[in-house]
Amino acid sequence: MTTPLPPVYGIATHPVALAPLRQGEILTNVRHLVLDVRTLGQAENEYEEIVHPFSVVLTQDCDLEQDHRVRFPEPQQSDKLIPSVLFCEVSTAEELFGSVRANQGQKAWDRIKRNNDVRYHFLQRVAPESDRLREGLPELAIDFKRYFTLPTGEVYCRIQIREAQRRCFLVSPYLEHLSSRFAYYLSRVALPLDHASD
Amino acid sequence: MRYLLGFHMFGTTDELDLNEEDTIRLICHALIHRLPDQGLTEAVESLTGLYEFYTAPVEPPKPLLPHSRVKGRITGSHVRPVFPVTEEE
Repeated sequence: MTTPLPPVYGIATHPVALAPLRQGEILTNVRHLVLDVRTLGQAENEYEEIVHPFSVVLTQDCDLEQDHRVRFPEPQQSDKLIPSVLFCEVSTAEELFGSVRANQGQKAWDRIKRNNDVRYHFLQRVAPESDRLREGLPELAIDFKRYFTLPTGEVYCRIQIREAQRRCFLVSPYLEHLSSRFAYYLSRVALPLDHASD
Repeated sequence: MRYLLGFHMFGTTDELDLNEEDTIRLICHALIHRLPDQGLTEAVESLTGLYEFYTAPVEPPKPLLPHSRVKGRITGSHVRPVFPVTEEE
């Protein structure tokens, strides 16, 4: 008899916006518009649409929950409303680490998949039963340098029209592992020189 | 060096009739009067800060700029780029 493995993912709580986003929630097809700054000040601005095949929410869970309570059914004036949601871009592990896996051998790959590289975060594949769309997701990878924000109302609206899709979320302690590593990466300290060694 | 602290109250009655602000001022006088010398520098610094804060004229809030709507159009759509890791960092 084998011991069941601890769960890494939970199924996304709601297909649309009736439940708050969760920290560590993975969404697919999140789109955001980037202003072409050359058109600033003109009568009509131009925007480039950026499509994120995968992305992960990194805003604090409690902030998202409190925001949702005062945002729906109609947004109230409240300091609990958060203006934007923080995301990190997510790639497939193959896209991000394919070259390392192919060319640098098992040792380099082990270092990445054990999350020993401060800038990157590897996530195991998502089984279909943990995915709200029952399709499953491949092994994923996050580059902590590639974060972005979207206005909170816009995120829920894009979910509501079923453009962005809520798939699954990381459960404890895998969630805290991700959020603490992200926070550490953002708060890292650059030294003028490394410590010298004789 | 010690001082004697006294107050002269005007009026026609022997009873003290102080409002809250005057009572607090009296308490402050008494506290400073009894404050050990080593606390005087901190006290004067704190009081100077309070004095400057509360006597500075308060600027009226600036009116918010009105919201304006600007037309926009999407000129293109593309998947975000990926920057593969090419060497172990």
